[in-house]
Amino acid sequence: MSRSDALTKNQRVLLEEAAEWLLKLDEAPLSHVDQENLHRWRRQSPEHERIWQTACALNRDLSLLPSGIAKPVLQRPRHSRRTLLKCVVGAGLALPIGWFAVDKKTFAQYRTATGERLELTLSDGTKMTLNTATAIDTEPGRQIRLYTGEVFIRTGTADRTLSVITAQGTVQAVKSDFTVRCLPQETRISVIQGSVKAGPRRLTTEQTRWVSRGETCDFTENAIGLIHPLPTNRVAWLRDQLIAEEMPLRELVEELNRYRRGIIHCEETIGDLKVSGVFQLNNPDQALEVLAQLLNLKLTHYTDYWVLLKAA
Amino acid sequence: MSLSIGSASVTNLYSEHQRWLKGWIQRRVGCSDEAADLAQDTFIRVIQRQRKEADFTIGYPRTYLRTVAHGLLIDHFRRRKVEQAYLEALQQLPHEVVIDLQEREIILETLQRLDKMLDALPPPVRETFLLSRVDGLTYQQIAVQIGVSERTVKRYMQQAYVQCLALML
Repeated sequence: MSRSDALTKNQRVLLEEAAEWLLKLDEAPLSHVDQENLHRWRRQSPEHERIWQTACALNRDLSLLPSGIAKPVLQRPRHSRRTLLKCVVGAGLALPIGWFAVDKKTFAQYRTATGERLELTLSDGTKMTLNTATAIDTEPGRQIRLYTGEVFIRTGTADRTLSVITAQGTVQAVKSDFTVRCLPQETRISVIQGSVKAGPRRLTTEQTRWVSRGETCDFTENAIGLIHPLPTNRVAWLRDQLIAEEMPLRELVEELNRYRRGIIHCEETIGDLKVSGVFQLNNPDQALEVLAQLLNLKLTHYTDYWVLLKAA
Repeated sequence: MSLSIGSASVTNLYSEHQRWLKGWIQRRVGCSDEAADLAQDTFIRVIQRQRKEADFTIGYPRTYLRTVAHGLLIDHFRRRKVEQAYLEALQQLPHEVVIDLQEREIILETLQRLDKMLDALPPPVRETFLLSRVDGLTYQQIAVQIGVSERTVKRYMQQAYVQCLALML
């Protein structure tokens, strides 16, 4: 039952072109010129973009499945449809009692790749924006599980509490705008509107603390850090910006690394240089070039992925 | 006998043929509950189609219902097959954790969708596609493994992508 005969000639041509791009992507990461070309191709018409989105969905499906599962399932011997019908009739299915699995975030319901952003609205009206390299699951009872990355949440007007669960504990909110970010051993909360409650996993309910509008704090699984005023640039990523005010170059590079595939490395000797400026996160490579110009540094591309910043 | 389907006659179709259809399906799936669900799904398909096409008529109601139900059965069996292979695969994995039901559903749905697309591909094209996208081999490695030129591998991959995308549109 192939639908390919129902396609228009134009669609067929577009599919073939999209397939060419997928072949290119299979072989090597796209060069800058090719990335530009692909963007141009996608912008040619809404149908181009729709077909590209379909290609992305196919890639997503394929990468969602860990090979330990995809391989035995999809590579099993196949039968014609008729034998398929015959041999399964009456076959019961036994569910094993224990479940076995793999890294949870691989299976997360909503994920973004490095440099990607995703906006979602849940059925209760809660709005979320997933920053780069983020994985979350939504669970019944207004629970959100944040496995990795950073999420902005606007809870909407419902009176019910919304919880964000991280490796270190739970963040609870009612009618608030806030972000939660996973750091290596800590959870960082930044509150823009309303207030949220920080609840490290190993503390009792009495020991939880409120963090209010314009405040930020980090907590580990058994302690809540000091509450600080929220730096204005903390949520600039929602506008695709990275705002540096007298930021050490080392930190800035670390931030840019979150949004760019590969590794940007800066020489130890220049790590303390202070930088001020606004950088576009949707084009980290351009941001790097601006940065190099600004501080008069030398930018060396070893590969598309690996870049070194050093004193000129 | 020809039957034009308006909302009133869907009710007719349902009341006249539901029991028969459920019986026909039950003989194939073995389970009464599943058969009832699949029969329900069959009527839903008919209603959906009738909504889309204004002059939708059915010549032979039972033949038609059987054809629609047959398509659903194929999907149903595919799902079981995929589920079974999935469970077996899980048991082969080295460590134990918990997958909740929702995650399980997402994985199974994705597997089923991919499985259906792969069925539509000629065997060498399918094998090439899996070696590339599941095993992660390069085109050159695939060429060596299946004994064709790299150009052929590319041609297979091109065909696989075009066909998969066409089914997804």
